[in-house]
Amino acid sequence: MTSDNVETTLLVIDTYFSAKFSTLLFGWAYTTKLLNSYEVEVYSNKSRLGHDLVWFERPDVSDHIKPKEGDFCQGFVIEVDGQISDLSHLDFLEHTYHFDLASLHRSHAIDEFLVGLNDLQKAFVESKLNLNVSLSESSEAPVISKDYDAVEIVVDRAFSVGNKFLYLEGWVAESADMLKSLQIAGFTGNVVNYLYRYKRLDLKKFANSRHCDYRNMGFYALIPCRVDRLDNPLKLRLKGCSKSKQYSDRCIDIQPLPIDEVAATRIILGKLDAQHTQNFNRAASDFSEALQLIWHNKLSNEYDPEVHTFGKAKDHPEVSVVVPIYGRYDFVQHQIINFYVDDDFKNVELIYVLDDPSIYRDFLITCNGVFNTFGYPFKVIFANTNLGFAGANNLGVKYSSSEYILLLNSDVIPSKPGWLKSMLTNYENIENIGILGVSLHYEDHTIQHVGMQFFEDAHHPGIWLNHHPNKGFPSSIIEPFEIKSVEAVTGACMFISRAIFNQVGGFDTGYILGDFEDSDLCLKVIELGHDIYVDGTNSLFHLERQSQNLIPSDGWKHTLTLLNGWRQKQKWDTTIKEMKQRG
Amino acid sequence: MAKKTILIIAHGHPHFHKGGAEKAAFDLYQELRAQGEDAWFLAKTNQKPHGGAAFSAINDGREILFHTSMSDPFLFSNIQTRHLWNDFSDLLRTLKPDIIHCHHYFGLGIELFRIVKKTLSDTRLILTLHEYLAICHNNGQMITPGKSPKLCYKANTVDCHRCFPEKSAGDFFLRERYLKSLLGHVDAFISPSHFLKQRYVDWGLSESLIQVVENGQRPVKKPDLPPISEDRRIRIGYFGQVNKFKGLHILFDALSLLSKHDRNKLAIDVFGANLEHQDSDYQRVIKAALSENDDLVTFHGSYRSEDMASIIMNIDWTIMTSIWWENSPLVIQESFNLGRPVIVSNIGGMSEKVRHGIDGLHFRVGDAVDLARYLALVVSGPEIRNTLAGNIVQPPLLSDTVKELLSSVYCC
Repeated sequence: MTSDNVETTLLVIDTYFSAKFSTLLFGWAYTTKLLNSYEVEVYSNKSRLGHDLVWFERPDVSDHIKPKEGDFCQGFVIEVDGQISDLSHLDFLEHTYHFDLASLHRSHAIDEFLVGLNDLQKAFVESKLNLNVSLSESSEAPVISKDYDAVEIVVDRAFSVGNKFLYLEGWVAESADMLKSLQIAGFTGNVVNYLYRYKRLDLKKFANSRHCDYRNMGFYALIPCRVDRLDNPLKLRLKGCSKSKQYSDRCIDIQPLPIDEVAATRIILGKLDAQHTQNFNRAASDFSEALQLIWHNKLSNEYDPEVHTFGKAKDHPEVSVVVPIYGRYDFVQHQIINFYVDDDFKNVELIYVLDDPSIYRDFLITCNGVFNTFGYPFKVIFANTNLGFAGANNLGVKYSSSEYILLLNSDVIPSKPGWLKSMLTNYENIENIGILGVSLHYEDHTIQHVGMQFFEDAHHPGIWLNHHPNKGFPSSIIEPFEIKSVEAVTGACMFISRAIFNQVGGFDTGYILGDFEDSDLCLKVIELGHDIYVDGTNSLFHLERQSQNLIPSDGWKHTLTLLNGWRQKQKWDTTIKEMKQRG
Repeated sequence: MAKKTILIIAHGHPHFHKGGAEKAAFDLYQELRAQGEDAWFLAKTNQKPHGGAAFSAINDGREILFHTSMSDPFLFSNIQTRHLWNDFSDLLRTLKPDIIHCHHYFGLGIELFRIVKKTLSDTRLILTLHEYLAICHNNGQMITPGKSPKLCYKANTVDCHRCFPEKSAGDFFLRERYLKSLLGHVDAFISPSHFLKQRYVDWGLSESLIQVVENGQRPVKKPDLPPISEDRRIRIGYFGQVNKFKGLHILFDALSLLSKHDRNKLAIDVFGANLEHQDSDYQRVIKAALSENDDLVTFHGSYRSEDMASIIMNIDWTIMTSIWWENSPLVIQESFNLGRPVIVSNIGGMSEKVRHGIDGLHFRVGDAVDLARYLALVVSGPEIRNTLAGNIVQPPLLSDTVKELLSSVYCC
C-alpha cells in the first residue's frame, strides 16, 4: 500500500472568542478523505452541542500544507451554544479532539480572524457576536450595479432533501418588487412562489447602498422537485429584468444534507419562522414533509440494542416500568433510592432505555454503582442512536414482559412508597380505561400536571396546544379528586396495559424530537374506544424538563414544536373537535 | 461477655490534616483504646496507596487509611468507584464492628451508611454532625456565598438555587431527598451543640434521634490569671483560622473605633492559621490592618492545641468573631478548660456555649461598634475578667464524654 492510500486528517483550533451566549472557534481542517460535505460535531461532557459552521479559504494554511487535488483544506468558524468551559471535545470525521483550556489561545479582538472571510462569512461572525465588524473595502463585496432596475440574487446554500425538495438560502437585492420570475433549469415552476423572505440585519449597510429593504432581503425556499434532474452547480435564471443580469451572480453546488438528522433539521428549519409566516399551512405541510424525509430511515429502522442486566430478573413481574434516559443520567440514582425501599417494587421489572451514546460509559458505571449499592435489579436497553421519546419508549416496551406498563420519565420522583400498586388497582377497577395518568407536582408542591386539555391559542394559530390546567397552582387550593376523566395525560407518567399499547402500535415516532407523542397516544386510545383518566389519589414529583434542557432552545427547536403541533392537528382535528362537543 | 468492636470513621487523619473534626474523632478513638475498648480508626486520605489498594495502615495497624474520593460532591456520592460497595464492604465483613461511629461522610461518600446496613444489618450506626453540611451546599456554613455573606436561617430549594444558580431548585430538592434517604440508615446522631441539633431538627431529622454530647477535653492544670496592674496591658487572644467567615477583620474595625487611651491599655495576640490560603483581597485587608495596628496587635501564626496552656498564661481573655453560626467551637472549650472567659459573636454555637455576663461576653455579630463598646468595657473594668473567669464551668472531660457515649449511645 502506498502512502497515498493512507488517510490523513488534521484539525487545529487557532483561537477561540467568547461571545455573549456562545463561543466562536477559529481554526482549520485538512483531510485526504473525500466526502460530499464535511461536518464538525462539538460536545460537552454529557451531550452534543448545537452549532453553526462556516468553511472558508485559508491560503496561509494551503500554502503550507499544499493539498493535492481532491483534498479538503479549509478554515472554519464554528459558533457553538456554550461557554468554552462547557466544551469537552469535538469530532471531525472519525477523529476526536479534546479541548484543553490551558493550551487554547483565547482571543479578545476579532479583527485578525476576519482576514480571508468574504462579506457573508463576516456577516455570519458579526451576527453571532452582535458586534459591528466593518466590512473592509478590499473584501469581495458584491459589485454595486449602477443599473438600479436590476435584480441581483445570490444563493448562499443549496441542499437536496431526499431528492424531493430543493432547499435554498440566500438574498436578493431588488428595488420595488422587481423580482417576478425566477427559474431553475429542470424545474417548471416559478421559484418566486416558493420564496419566504426574511430580515437580513447583517446586510443592512449593503441594502442601503442598493436602495433596497434589508427587511425583505433574505430568502429561503423549499421547492418540491426532482433535484437530480436540475443542473448542478445550480444557477438561477431571472426573467423580466434587464438583460445584463439574467443570471444569479454565482453558481452554487447543490449539496446533500448532513447524514446526522439533527444537523440536517437545523439547516432546514434554521430560517423558518413558522409563527410569522403568512401561509403557515403550506409552510408547515412542506417543511413537515421534508422532515419526514430526513428522519425516515432513522424512524423506520429496527434496532438490535444492547441489553445490560443488573441483578436477577423477576420471573413474572406484575408491572414493567420503562424509563428513557437522555442527556442527564443521575436521575437513575434518585429514582432507585426511592424504588428499592418500596414494597410495591418487589415484583416490578425496571427498564432504562439509553439512546444517548455520548453518556454510554458513564451511565453504565453509574448503573453498576447504583445496583451494587442499593441492590435493586434492573435492565438497561442501549440503542446506539437517539430515538426520541417515542422511539425510546417503544423500544423499552418491546423488551419488557408484564401485562401492565408504566411509562415514566427519568425526572419523575415518587413522593412516598406505595403508589404503584394503588395505580395498578385503580387501573384494574375503572371500566373501559385506556390510560391512567397521575397528579404530578413540582418540587415546591405546586401542580405540574392533573391531566391535559387540547387548547387553541391565538399566539400559535393552526395547532392544538397541550394545555396543563392548574399548572403552578398550590396543590392545596385545587378541589381534591380521586379519579377523573380527562382529554389526555402527560407521557411523564402513564399506566397502560400492554394489550392496548400494542393495539395502537405504541407511540407515533413521527413527531420529530419530541412533543405531542403523549397526547397522540391518548388520541389513538380514545379512537379505539377507551377513556383517559388521571389518578388524584397518588402524587409524584416531576422536575419537568430538567432532562430536556440540554436540547438547544434556539429558534429551530421552537419551530419544530410548532410543526409537530401542526402534524397533530392534521391527524386529530376531527377527533378533538368531536371530543370537545361531547364535553 | 466479649468486648464490642468499635470502628471510628473520619474524613481525615489528624496525622495528615489537623482539623477540629478529625481531632475530635481521633481523640475519641484514643480514649476508647485507653479505656480498654476494642477500637479501630478508619480515615479517608489523599495519600497514594500501594498499587491501587483501597486501604493502607499506619501506627499499630489499627489506624486504617481509606484511599477514596467522592464522584459527585454535590450529593457527597461515591458510587462510581468500587470503594464503598466492594472494598469497604469487605473490610466490614472482616472487622465485624458492633458499633460504627462516623465523624463525617464528606470525602468518603454518603452511601457508606447504606453499605454498613447492607453488609452488617445489626451494626449500630452513629453519626456525629459537623457543620450544616447536609443542609447547606456552601460548605455547610449556612451563610450566603459571595463577597458579603448573609446569615441563612433555613434552607429551601428556591433560596439555595439563588445561592448557586448553576444548580436548579429541582437539583436541591433531589439533593435533600437523597441525603435524607441515606441518613435514614443512621441509628443515632450526636450533635456537639443544641443549636446544631435544632438546625437539623428544623431540616427534618427526628429530634429523638439526636443526642447532644460535647466534644470532651483532656484534663490540664489551669494556669493562673495574669495580674491586673496599671502598667500591664489587657491581653486578648485570637485562636483559629484566619478567613472571612472567622471575622478577624471585625476585631480590627473595632480597634480603630477605640480611644487612644483605651488602645494603649490593650494588646491583641493573633494565633491565626492559613492566612496564606485566603484570597488575595482578604490577605490584603488583614495585612493592612495588622500594620495599622502594630502598636497593639501581634501576629504569631498558627498554634498547636497542646501548646495552648503555655500560650494562655499571659492572656486575659480569648475572642471569637465568626460571622457564621459555628457549631461547638473547640476554641471555646479549650479556653474554658484553661479558665479564660471568651468574647463571642452572639449567634449559633458561640452564644450557646458562652453565657453573656456570666462566663463571657456577647457582641452583635459582625458589628464592630458593639464589639468596640465591650473592648472599652474590658479595658476600663479589668476586674470583670476575674468575675467571669470565676463562673466558668469545667467543660466535660474526654474520659467522661466517652463513658457517656458507651453507656447511652453505643449500647442502646
